[in-house]
Amino acid sequence: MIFRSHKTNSLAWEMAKHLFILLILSMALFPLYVTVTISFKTNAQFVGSPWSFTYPLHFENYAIAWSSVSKYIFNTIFVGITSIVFTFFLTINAAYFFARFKMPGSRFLWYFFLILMLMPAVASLIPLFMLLKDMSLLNTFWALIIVYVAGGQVVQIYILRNFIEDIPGDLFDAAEVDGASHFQQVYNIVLPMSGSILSTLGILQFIGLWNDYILPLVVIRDDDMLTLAVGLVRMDSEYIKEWGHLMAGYTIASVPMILIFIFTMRMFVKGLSSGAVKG
Amino acid sequence: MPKTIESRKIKYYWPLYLFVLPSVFLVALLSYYPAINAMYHSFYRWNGEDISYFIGAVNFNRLLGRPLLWMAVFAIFAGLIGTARKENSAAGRFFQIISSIILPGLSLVVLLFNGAGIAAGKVNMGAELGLGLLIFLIMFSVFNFIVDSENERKWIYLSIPVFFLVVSVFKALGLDSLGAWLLACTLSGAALWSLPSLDGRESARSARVLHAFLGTGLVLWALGAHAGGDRVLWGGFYVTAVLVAFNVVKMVPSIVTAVVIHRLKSERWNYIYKVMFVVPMIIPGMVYLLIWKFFFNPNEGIFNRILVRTGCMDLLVLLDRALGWGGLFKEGVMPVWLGHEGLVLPALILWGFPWVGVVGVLIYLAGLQNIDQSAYEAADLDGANPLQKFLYIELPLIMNQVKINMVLMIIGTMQAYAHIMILFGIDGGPNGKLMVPGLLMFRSAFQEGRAGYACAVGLIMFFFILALTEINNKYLKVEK
Repeated sequence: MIFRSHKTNSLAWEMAKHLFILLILSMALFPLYVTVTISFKTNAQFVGSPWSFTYPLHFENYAIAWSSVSKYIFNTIFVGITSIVFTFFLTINAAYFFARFKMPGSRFLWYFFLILMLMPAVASLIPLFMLLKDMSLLNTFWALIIVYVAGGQVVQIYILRNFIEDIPGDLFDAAEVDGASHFQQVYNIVLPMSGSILSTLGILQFIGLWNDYILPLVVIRDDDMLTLAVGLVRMDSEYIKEWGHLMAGYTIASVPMILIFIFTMRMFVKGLSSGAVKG
Repeated sequence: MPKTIESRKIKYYWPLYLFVLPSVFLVALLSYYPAINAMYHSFYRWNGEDISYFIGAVNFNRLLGRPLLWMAVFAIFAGLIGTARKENSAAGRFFQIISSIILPGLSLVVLLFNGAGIAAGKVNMGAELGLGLLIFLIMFSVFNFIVDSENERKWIYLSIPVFFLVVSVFKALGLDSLGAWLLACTLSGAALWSLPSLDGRESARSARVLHAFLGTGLVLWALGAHAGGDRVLWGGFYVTAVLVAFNVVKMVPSIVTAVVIHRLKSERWNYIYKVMFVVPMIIPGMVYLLIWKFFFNPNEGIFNRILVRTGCMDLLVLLDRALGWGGLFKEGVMPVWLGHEGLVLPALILWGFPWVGVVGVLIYLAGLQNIDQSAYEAADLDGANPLQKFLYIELPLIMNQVKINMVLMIIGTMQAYAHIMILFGIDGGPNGKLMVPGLLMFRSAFQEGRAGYACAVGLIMFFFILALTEINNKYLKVEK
């Protein structure tokens, strides 16, 4: 009898847990739901019934939003992919250097990077802006790209160094016996093995610059060259509020993230959790 | 293992440096140079272009009032951090006594006599006492319940609510909050160092260290309020402190959600929920922020409609009448969350409800997976209730992750200002209510053309964050 009461009790608990999670989940998903429903409405429909889908669905909201958002999206994708490629090119080589060799001065160079992890970067925005101005890079994508590449260095070198140190040294020795140069070792041994970690790092960097607001705000002037975050804020402040267009724009702006996650979610969840355990 | 290459062989191996040099060059140019340049230009009148001449510490004078006082307090602070971990060192005791009794006492006296005053204008005695008693009761019962009676430090936890009660009594007697805190701090510091029954207790030592930090914090508060610096900067630090406090509270939903998901019996649901919690994450942060901006829209936004629909609005109107919030909420009037002086800070705290950070949940879940099932069985045999299981089994295991997240959150909150700029505009809302230091820096540089001043603001923030990082490293030791 004791057992039975225990069991019903635990069943009730189990239901309570599910209910709690579903409640939290529904609240977390609510903004997404609202955005998608409103993106199919005209303002009149929205005022009439704000909570659910109303018919007819106005797909033309998406066409209108696309015409204004698309350029921001392509800009951001260009900046993102370019800077990720450059960052990887630099960080893999540097991490290979730190992981495989102890040269005179490599300790100093290591701390040269590591100290930046502790230093808050908040004060350097203004001189950075002036520097970019002196290099006459203002209002070009290259200003964004070199800053993102430099900003990605420290963390990525740190993580990739740990990763390369875990690769068995025999592999490198064998390659060396076969006469492989260091570059060949990087591109034939390190690169093929680091797919999952590189995609995690790349996604994190991409999410970061997809949402970055301050730097493009001060660096880019032309509307045609804005990146997504600034573009969206500008849309939000410029429109005579036609909520349907705005929400359609927000939905479109989320699509690339959704695509990335669909393709890499399994890897990403795994990489995130294991990285967390390692500290 | 890395291959060691000695200096005499370097002439064969020097091309290896080419692997790291580009990174070094880039980081030196875009991270080190701007940081150093900011320090240099904080001593200049600089508009970012042609005007640039040395003015010494004028920027800092304007911002802080009396930089020497600040430097003295910071020096004591540094001494405190440096010596606090050493057992029974004379220097440690010296710095602790100075910062928990002498400095607060001194500032109290100075405030009394230099005309700044510590008396509050109008005191609602009953309200102060009632609020104090309420806080006291809640905190006391919570600590009494959570902290084990075998714990040697229990008395420290229990004296925290007493401290709050004393502060509210002082406030009810007519002191302003700064004065009340300083007085309570001085008195409790004196008690901590003079009561003979405390000597030789291990727990007394940690209480004294903790109290010393409280004392320095209060003195910094006094300096900010009365040293004659830039009021805007100080208001910004106040807003930041409030935000940090609430962000700590906002960490709770993630932890609770992770624990509940972890406790589900079925592995399959566990996985399904994990995947479903990734879905909100795919909304880019910027879009999420803009959606919330739309939510807060007074007439068309969703937030007010939800409040009305769920009856929360009536409750808020009632509370407004009962507590005298001055008509923030009135019947039939939609509150302007992003435009009313009294509502902008609550709006900034509320946005993002229910505050479940997806990355946080996944990280906590990863930590929880290490728990051995036998621990739960043993706890069941001992008749532990769910809360006790949480406190003694689950929380210790994810403590590392919680600490790391907290450190990152604090540092992030100190620096973040983009979301405030987007929600409330570059002036930080009505009357600059939310002008956090970062935003002040941005506006001075890019709107008012006072780049030197902005660099000084940045440098002050830099030192505050560095000090916080140092405390974190010393006290929130992460066990590997």
